[in-house]
Amino acid sequence: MALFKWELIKIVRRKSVKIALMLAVFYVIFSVIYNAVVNLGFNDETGRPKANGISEIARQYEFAEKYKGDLTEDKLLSAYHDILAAYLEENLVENEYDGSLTPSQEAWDKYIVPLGTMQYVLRNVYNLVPEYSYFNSIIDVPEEMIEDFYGVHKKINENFINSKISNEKDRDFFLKQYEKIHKPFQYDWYDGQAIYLEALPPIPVIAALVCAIFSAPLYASEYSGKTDSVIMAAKYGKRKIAAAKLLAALTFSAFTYVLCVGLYVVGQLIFVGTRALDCPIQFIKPIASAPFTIGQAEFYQIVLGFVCCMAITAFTSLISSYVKSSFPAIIVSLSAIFIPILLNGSIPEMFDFITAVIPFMRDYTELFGINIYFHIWSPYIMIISPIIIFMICMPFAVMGFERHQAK
Amino acid sequence: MNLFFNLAGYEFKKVICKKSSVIVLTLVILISAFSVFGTIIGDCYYLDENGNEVAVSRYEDEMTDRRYGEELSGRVIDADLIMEAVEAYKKVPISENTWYTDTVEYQQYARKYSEIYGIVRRALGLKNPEEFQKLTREQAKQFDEIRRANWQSVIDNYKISENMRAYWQKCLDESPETLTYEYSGGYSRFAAIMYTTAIIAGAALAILFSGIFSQEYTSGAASLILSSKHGKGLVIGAKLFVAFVISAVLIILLTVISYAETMIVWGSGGADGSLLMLGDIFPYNITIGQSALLYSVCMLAACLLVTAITALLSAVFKTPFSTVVIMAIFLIAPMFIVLPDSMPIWVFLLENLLPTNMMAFWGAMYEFQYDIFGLMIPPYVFIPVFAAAVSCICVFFAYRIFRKHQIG
Repeated sequence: MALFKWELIKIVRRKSVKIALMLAVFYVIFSVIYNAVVNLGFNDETGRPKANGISEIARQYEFAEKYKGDLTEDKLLSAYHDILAAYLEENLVENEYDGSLTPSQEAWDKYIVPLGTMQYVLRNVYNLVPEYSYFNSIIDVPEEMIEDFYGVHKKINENFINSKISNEKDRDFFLKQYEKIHKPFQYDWYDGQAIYLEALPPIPVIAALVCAIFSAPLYASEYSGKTDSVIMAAKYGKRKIAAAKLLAALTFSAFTYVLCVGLYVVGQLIFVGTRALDCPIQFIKPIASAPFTIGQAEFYQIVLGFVCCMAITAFTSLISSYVKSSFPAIIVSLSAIFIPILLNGSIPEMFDFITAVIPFMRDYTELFGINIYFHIWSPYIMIISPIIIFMICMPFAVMGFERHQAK
Repeated sequence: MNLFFNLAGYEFKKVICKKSSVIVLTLVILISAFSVFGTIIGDCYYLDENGNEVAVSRYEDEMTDRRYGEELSGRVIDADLIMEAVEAYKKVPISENTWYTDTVEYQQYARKYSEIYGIVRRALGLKNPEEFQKLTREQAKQFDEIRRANWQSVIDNYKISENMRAYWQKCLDESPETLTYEYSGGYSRFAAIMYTTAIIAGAALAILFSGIFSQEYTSGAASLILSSKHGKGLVIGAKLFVAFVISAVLIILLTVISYAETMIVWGSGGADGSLLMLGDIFPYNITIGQSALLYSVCMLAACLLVTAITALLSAVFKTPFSTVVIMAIFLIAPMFIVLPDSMPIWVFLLENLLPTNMMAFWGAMYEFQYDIFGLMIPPYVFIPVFAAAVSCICVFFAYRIFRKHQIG
């Protein structure tokens, strides 16, 4: 325990760690405030901010009271009629850019703005019906089709699954998964939660960067500082010291992650609260068979980020135990974090599986997908893979230090 | 002068002969060489006449697009070409259950004209392929008129400074009355691939030169260098000279590799096509080939700026560790920052001066210009000038800091 404590102190006292942690916390706080004030702000027709996000969040929640709870056909029809009202001939004006007819600002403020995210719930679904996919609004969709909202939703999902997956077993997996989605959907104004969810994936990457910074010198600094010969000859032996170092690094990784993500989540709860966390992820992207709510998707991302961070720490420690100085360790570690992110779009489809295995190459958006490898849904692989990397790297890191010959 | 080049030769060996440098350079060149193939490996699926799914290799698929594009290249987008495309699209059934692009008819008749459809749709504000199918010859004849009127409307109504408005107006007045279609698949792929390659190359340069000064501090050689005859002048100069030469050679090499590969696969046609082929409004009367060249210059300038900043940080910090971490964050962080559209234009113009954004095609060809005392400077001119100026400042301070370094 004493060794662990001393190793932890060594990590905390490093200037680079303090600066990195401070910058990470600054980024998290900035991100939380930026989302609330700027991204959730209300812009006028020129794109200029008209209201800051904090007052806009309160206003949108107030608007959403009318539709909150079970998303019934009556509520959907009511929203649809409001959209139709905005597009009545007397409410249309000529667009100054392209001459097309669009609702006037007054009509927009009266009918569309109070709909909040309800307009997207409708538009996102009907845009996926080939016949209506190219329209900018849903005014051309017949009323009967709006009444059959859940039927249409089911059909587009089934069509998508059937067209994309040829293996019957895999197809059944997603079709059954879709059946588990709770209907009617729970509605609330979900833009706030969606924006915070969307901005969450970079936070674990930042935390992993901090982890790499303090893990890179974990063993290597002892070699380059020539203290390895003293440590190796000490009474506790190599294994205990190596294990204490690793444990300290993992503990500090967990602390870094909890601090960064914890601050983010607290900020999110302060600004947008817990409302809409029970909304289905199908509001964000209608083609999704996973029976997850926005809150559950966020929890998935938090867990995924945590296991990825721990894997990066273990991997960096492993490299650190085998190289002579912390410089190559940090280069390898940074490459492991960033190169996959950079190459994400240019990896051939046939190697898609690899992108699910490497930490940070994919995020919670995989919950919307239907990627399945060896009959295992990709979100499961994404969680399991970093755990395996972690389990493999840990003993080898200790072994690397144990086997090191001090010169 | 001979002495300077002798010193530069030693510094060159010091950088290049390191194991880490060899690994990093090899990796960057390999990534650059193979990234082109990412988009042409694997299969895609289409329906045949009998409704059966058939697999087509991505390479074949790309070659089909290339063949179609080259067949139409050089033709003016006029009523004749538009109506030819309309007739082809009329054969495509539009139904509630199938995407029109998934139909056999689309593959057989309309796919060839998909780029023409895209250009006409944007210009005429068509909502869907059904509206395109109903397009009349009279409407098609108005294509150029409407396209230019839309541009004029943007110039008249967009909230920009009067100087910028006048600049845009001049560009519109000088732009050709008609658009000639040119297939430019090679150039669009080149721009996309080079962005990732340039960022990876920037990271490699940061690794290569992070120790250019700081390794002298850590190894204790700084005391020897600074007390030697040429240590406070020529040696520092040689170090910086070598850093910039290696950086320039590396970036030019990577650009040549990517250019050659994309041109071999997708063809070098389209260089004379207007930049307007790539978007509705580009207030620059340059060709696609010229834009690729200007973009390459911006990218080179951005990478040299990365080298200069790395050298400065290397002179400031005692170990290369901090330099590498800071440079990694500096290069990657801009990719996570997404500014909302409501931000003023000058914020985006400033954002484009970060090295990572300078490396992007859209950064070099950004439609807004830098207003310097009333003089409107396009980004592809301002970016290299700015990068050169900041690089000079960084080099000056790096030189000064290392020269004045106090040996502890």
